[in-house]
Amino acid sequence: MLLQASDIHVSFPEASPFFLRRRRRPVLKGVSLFLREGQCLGIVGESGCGKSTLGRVLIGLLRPERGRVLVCGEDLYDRRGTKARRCGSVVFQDYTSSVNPRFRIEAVMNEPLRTLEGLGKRELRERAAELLERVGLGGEFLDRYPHQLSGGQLQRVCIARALAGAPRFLLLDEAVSSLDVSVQVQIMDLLAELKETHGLSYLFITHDLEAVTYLCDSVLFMHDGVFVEETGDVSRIGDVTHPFARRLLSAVAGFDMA
Amino acid sequence: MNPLLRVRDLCVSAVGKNGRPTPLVKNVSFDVEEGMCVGILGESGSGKSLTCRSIVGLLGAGCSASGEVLFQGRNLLTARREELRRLRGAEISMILQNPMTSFDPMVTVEGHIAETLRAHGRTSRKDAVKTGIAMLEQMRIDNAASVLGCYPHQLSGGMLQRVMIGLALLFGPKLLIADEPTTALDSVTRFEMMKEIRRVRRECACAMLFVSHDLGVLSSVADTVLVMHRGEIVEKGELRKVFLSPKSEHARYLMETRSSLVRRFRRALGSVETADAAASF
Amino acid sequence: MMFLSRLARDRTAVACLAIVAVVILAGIFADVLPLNDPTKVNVLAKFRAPSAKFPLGTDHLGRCTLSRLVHGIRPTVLLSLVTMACTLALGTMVGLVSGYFRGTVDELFMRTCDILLSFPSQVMILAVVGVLGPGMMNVVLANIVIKWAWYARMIRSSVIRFGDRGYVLFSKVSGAGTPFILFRHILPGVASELLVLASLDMGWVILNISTLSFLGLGVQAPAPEWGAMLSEAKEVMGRAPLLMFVPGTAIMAVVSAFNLIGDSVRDAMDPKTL
Repeated sequence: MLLQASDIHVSFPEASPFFLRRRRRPVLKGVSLFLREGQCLGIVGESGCGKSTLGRVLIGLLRPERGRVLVCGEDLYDRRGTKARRCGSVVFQDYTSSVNPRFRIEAVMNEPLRTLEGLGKRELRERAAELLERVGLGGEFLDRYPHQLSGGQLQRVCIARALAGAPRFLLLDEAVSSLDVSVQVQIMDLLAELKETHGLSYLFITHDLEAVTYLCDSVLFMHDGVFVEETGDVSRIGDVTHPFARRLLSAVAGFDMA
Repeated sequence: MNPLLRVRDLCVSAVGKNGRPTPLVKNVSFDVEEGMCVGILGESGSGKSLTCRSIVGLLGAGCSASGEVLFQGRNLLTARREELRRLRGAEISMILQNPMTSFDPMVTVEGHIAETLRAHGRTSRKDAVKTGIAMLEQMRIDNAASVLGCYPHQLSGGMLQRVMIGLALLFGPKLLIADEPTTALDSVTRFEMMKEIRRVRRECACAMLFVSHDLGVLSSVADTVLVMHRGEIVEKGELRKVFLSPKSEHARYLMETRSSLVRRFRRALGSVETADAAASF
Repeated sequence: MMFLSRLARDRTAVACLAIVAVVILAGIFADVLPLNDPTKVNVLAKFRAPSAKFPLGTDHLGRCTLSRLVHGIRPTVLLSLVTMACTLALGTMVGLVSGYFRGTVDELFMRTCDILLSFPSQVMILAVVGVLGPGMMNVVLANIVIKWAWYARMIRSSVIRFGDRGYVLFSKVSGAGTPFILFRHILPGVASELLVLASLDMGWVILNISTLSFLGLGVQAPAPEWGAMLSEAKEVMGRAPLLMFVPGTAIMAVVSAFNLIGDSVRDAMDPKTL
């Protein structure tokens, strides 16, 4: 089991008129999931259902109030666990703010490499070029600035950067939602290819059901802080029964030409 | 019959850092007939938003437009600022992409309605409240009276989008321009939004210019479609014809990528209840 | 760097930077320049008009005005720069720590800032100098102690905004150390705002130090300082107006130069045109 989350509870403080009595709004209400090796798990839900919050909990950015996250066998939020942190990486939705605009692409790629092993300057550059190649970008991109790249290219850089630490799984937090449809398909094809060549697992958080069926093999439907339905086999997604899941399906299905 | 909007050889260019103008939109020509919906399909950077902004005269500094944009016979590109301002909101309305940033966060919904009314000569507060409630109810928003007093951050994206459509329709415009109105919304809200837009089209019979990069959204509302690529129109025609048998290379590319996405989804769907979806389409 | 090249194209900024540079250099090398002794008293030569020997005339004690002006750069301008540097350093450190770590540390620092900022700054500075006694170092100290809170506040809100950026989150996920994140990601982002605030505020610091010297709380006679010179000149305003114009114009020129630089820096940093 690559990742195991049990009974995650997260709530956010609500602005309240009473200074001392701070109400809390529950966002995740007892969420559990697990990710196996080689699996591509989709988490689908509408905006505000808590899926992004769950994503943050699963990569170590937000400590849950209750519940545990075990990654590669170690507790993610245990201070001494370093193996757990290395196990996963993340690609965010907004590629423009995912990269420091003042860094050249080489510096962007070097950051995770640097923190992992002491490599010389030339070796770092070679590794960075090799990572870029894996995502279909040439070495000439190393010397460019982020604002000189297109959306698709920048997102590829983010994927390459996430791969730098040789993670076992990637969290894709609406990673393709901001891209044009044709670029979305290209990136998802790339992700599928990388999954085979690197033996990666994916946690794909999105509101887009079509993207989920394109890339994932199992799907979890999320609504209002809990999982309401699960499909172990995405090719049978039409068999879901929960009303929210069916609503989501018909909303997306209603847009296609016959 | 003269078309409601006739665009001929519209060119938009921006002056770059080195002083030389870069063409962003090149020789765009199309017509919008009364009551018809023209969709503009294109990826980011294709020039579709710039085309819409140049029609209503909202290009930013550093951009200039040339050509002919005839709205009911008047050339909008050469019209005076005051004339354009009077047209905007009253005869030509626009709804924008991100509902969260399209509203002033310090002003309530009622304040926005009052501002729009005031811009066209109606200044009484009672009038604003009455019109506001009528508009919100028409957009199927419950608790119209309490929504009037809400600030934008207290409302969801979908509801704000409806308020935006309502504001755009206040004066019964002849032409409604929608610039990627569903792009920032999630799947379910998008579906509800398109249902709303289709209903609006039926009830107010206004012409529409609908810009999107999403084929699925366009297919549910447009009669004819223009495909834009790198500032030029590469294909135009009736919706079904362009989607099912695209002639230009770029249009074919767009249809193919979209269909590969949809194919897998359809295969996985199997037996989903799409009755109500199909009926409204 | 894009910002420097844009600043270089702004002629006002370049002119003001040149003025400031000249002033600073003159102040640093005041001892080496061929000037009269600024403290040499010669009562027989008092209130002389400008001449070859005394290019800007002499004051009520026969001291060379030009020489006092140039030697006065050190306490007025250079010490202001030192004050600003220390205030920035202290304010930035507190702002960074407060904004990045949040929690109890943040609360403690911000409540301290609240207290410091609730008093009017001029009054507080006077109070601190009153307690510590007159003297340039005490004036500088008073300025630092009062002003750092304002910068800490500004930097903190900037840091909070940057802390949520995708690249900072990724650094945290990939295990980058806190110093790396603070100094390579957050500080450069915050630095541009810092620069704008600092250049706009420089004028205020200079005026502050001059004012305190004018009131007799800063520099002690016979050391030259522009504010002190103004104070001495006000007694003989009718007889020798030049004595008032010279330091007054100098203060105005340098403060304006800094303000204009601040405006240009802010324009050059504007993200809309970036």
